[in-house]
Amino acid sequence: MIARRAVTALAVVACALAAPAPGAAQSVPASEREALVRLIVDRGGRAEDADALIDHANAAGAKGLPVTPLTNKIREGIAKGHEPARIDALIQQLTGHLESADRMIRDLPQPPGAAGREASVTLLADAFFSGVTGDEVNEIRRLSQAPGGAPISPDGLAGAAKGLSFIKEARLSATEGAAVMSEAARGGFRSLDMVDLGREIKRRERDFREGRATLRALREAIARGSRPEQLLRERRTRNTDRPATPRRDPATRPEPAARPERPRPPDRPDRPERPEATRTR
Amino acid sequence: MRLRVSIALMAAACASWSCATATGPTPPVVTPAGVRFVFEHGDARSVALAGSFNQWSISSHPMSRAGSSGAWTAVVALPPGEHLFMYVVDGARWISPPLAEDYSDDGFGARNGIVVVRSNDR
Repeated sequence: MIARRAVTALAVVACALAAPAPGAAQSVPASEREALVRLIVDRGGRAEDADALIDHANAAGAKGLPVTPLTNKIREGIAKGHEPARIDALIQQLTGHLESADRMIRDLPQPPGAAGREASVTLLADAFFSGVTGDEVNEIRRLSQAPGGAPISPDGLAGAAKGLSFIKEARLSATEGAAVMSEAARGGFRSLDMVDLGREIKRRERDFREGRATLRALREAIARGSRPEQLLRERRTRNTDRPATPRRDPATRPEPAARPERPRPPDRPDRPERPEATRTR
Repeated sequence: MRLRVSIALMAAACASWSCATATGPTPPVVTPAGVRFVFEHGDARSVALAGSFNQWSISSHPMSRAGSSGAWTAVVALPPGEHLFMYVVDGARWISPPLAEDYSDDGFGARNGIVVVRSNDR
């Protein structure tokens, strides 16, 4: 009996030691390094340039930051034929976002396991890359803390921040967006649900912009207990063989100038520019 | 004779115009077999699909020409999640999808298309 307990205890200790500690140093695997070097050489670049980029990813990994988003971006940049200097500048920027995200996730009282932490840091850094600020994330954290309730989880905070990034991309109020996401976090929405909710708000941005929907009403619906499946019902019940309401690449949208020009009355005064917020996207 | 040539040229122009505009740009669609990507580029010799799901490889997911309309298609089984993608024409020209569920800045001055596969989509 004692022997069995001892073996069990040893097994538990061994597992604990084998599991990577939160924020443990990471490095780019050798196979990944070889693949990136091969890719840059195939594209006419120099192996040393790939090595320099990988070294920067490894430096970030040594601080306990996830290296996968960095190597993915290096690979994307090389594949698209961008100059190493440009890729490097982007890697430095992403590393900064990862550091900020890592600090915020570490600061939460519920540190998750290594895998969960890495996913949360990566998602939160992605939200920063999309324009969410540290102050806004702190505001989500503050508002999502119900009196006497549990604090927001790391993946919840990351999902709420990413959801807010969509609301900001739709050029809706960041303050009200943060309130919506905080309410969702308080209401027990999962991280992915909050990301989906933000994306859905962005998809319906015209409804919000033109007053057919409001972020305040949405927040109140969540506070009354509406669940993600209710809020996202239209999307979730959509036939899979139909695409989600597609967006057109803003860069390829036909400009008004492409339309046939009509002669302008000579005595007509110039009209003022339309404000940015009313431009149809 | 000149009139006949003009009529023939007009007919050919109309035919190609109707082909090009009848279908129009198509966003990716989730099907039981996978996500169906359709891209129109009549002048391309080859088109590939590159994205976060294939490490931005320009060779692992070639698209097939569908008839003579200039449409290229590929069906790719993707796991649930958010996937970034672009089209690569003739192995070198990276083109942002004309239509997608959403877009994100790639950090290099272009926009990746986004396709989201939800767990209840499959």
